[in-house]
Amino acid sequence: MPTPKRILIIDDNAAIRMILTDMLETLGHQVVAEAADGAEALKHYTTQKPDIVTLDLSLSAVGGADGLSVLKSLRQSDAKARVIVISGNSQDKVRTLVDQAGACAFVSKPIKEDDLVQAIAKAAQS
Amino acid sequence: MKEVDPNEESLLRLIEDGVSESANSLAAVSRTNWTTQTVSINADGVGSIRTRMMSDTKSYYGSYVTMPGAAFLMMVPQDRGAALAKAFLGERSVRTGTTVPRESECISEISNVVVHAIVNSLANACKESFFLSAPQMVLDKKSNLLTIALDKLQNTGESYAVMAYVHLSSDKLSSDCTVLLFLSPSFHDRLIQALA
Repeated sequence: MPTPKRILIIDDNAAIRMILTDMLETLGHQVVAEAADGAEALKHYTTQKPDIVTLDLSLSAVGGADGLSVLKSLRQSDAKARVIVISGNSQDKVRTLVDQAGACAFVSKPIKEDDLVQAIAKAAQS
Repeated sequence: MKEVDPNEESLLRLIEDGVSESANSLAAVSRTNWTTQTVSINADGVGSIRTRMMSDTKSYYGSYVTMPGAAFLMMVPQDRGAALAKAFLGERSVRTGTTVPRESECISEISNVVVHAIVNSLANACKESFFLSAPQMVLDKKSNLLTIALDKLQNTGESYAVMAYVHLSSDKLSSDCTVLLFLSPSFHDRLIQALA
């Protein structure tokens, strides 16, 4: 059984936050906070100091890849921030952008439990 | 005899593959088998699709996802929304302090995954990256939802060069799901160039 991690979930969709919370807690981890946008995410990151962050790539009503700026902000505020990006946009070029921005792992939607387990293990080792 | 552009053929094949991938994604995300009833790519005009939809006066959830040069619409009956949301969430328990998701949020997330399956295959084949808008939900009759989808594309001053229509059904959920894809002439040309 891997060491339980304290996790912050960042996703603008309440359904995904609920699914992720349930999956992570079933896997033995603790969800310390949930955030629906970048500002809330940075606030929770500072106060909760989670071991791992799961981050959706598209966070606003406009869509796009604003999650990338949140990833960069998190890594600027803490160079050791361990971030797993979770997105339906799993295009090759986008995954390269996510890697370059410093994410530890990428999980494609629909989220599979095995992928999540592997991503957490990878993040924990990084 | 008219010669068929091989890049045009490749693009249509790519869309076909993307559509098939999106049906797999719908099955995965809703934990339900869906049977593909119809797939037509540039075979029918909007007029014939609209005529087919006119007889259906039920209210549908229409989820729109757009990007420059493309508009996507996923439609599911409003009265099956709760069943679809339940299938999407599975046997999840609501933890203390967690917001209970609305039916529309579940359907919006399903459409996000379904449409990305198509767009991801186009992007990878063309070695490009495409970012989609967040899904926008409207409740209306199918034919009205179709009009809105075309308006979304025409707002950028363009009509469509490619239209794909996909109709799926699920016995388990007693539901159908229709996905429409419209690509503008300029986006179509951009894809053809990238494939050349």
